[in-house]
Amino acid sequence: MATNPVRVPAAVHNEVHTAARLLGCNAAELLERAWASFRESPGFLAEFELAQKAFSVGDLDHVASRIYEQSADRARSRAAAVKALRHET
Amino acid sequence: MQFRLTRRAIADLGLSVDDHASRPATDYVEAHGAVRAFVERRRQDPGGQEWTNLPATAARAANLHFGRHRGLTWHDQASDVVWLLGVGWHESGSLDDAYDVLKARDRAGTLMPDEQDYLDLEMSYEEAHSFVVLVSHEAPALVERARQAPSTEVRGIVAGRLGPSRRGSARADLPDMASPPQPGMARPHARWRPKAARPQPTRRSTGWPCCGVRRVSGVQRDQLAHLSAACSIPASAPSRRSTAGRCP
Repeated sequence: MATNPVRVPAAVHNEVHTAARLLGCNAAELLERAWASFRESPGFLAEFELAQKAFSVGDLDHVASRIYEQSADRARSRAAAVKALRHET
Repeated sequence: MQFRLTRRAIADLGLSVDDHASRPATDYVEAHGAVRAFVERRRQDPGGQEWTNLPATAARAANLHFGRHRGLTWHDQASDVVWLLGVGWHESGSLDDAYDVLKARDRAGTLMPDEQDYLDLEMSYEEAHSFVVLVSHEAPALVERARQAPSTEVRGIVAGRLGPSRRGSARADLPDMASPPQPGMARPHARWRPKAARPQPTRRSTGWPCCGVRRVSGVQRDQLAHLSAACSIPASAPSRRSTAGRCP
């Protein structure tokens, strides 16, 4: 099977390797398993069904709106994470 | 990894914010020597070698020298972006020393990337729409190719840049938008037409030359896999079967 590298933040990399050692597998196996679990999570299934329904009726605007809304949420969340780096003064 | 200038840094260099804010710095290294220095040096070493202690933010800001220009960069690992945070003119010992100015911005909360800078990383609505249109045309075509080569992995570029793959399936009964409706199939895509009759996808309305969407973050790549699956597999939700693995 072909494999490809995945870039993650250093902290995540370290945690995954530590957890994999504790679980007796390697980091790639743990990532594969985490992805499989995520694909079965309620959040992913809800998103999947929403996109599937929209595509099945050709409602591409709905999918585009959803992606755009998520973009705004993601930007807000990233900016909040940067603000959280500020020391209390 | 992307190389980006915050809006503040773009303004520091006298460049047009509107023209540059939503583009990676690699697209406009010719615009200013400091941009080229930023990209070339941080490509080799995203975190930098020499740092400035920021007075208000717990982030490792690396110094960037280009002639008399001094800048600060920050490797935002969570977003996989190296930011040029700001640039000033350095006269050592003078009152308006570049690093003092940049530190003052940090104290004021205007140095690090803000929500608008992160929005610039994302797709606009028009870009998102163009992206979805491309996915709706290209992902089913990729699936169709896979169906014609059972048990073989077929790889392809979707939305001009991304390359998920699907393994061919012998299940030719699965409905998707690329196949004509067949008796017994789930309801076909409402806008299904023979391939030759389909309009060409809109390339983009805002000037990027080669595809609908060039800037795609990691999360958006996840969405692509998600969407390409959604427009091509059967109407039932994904299987909830457990996956066998060696990990406990």
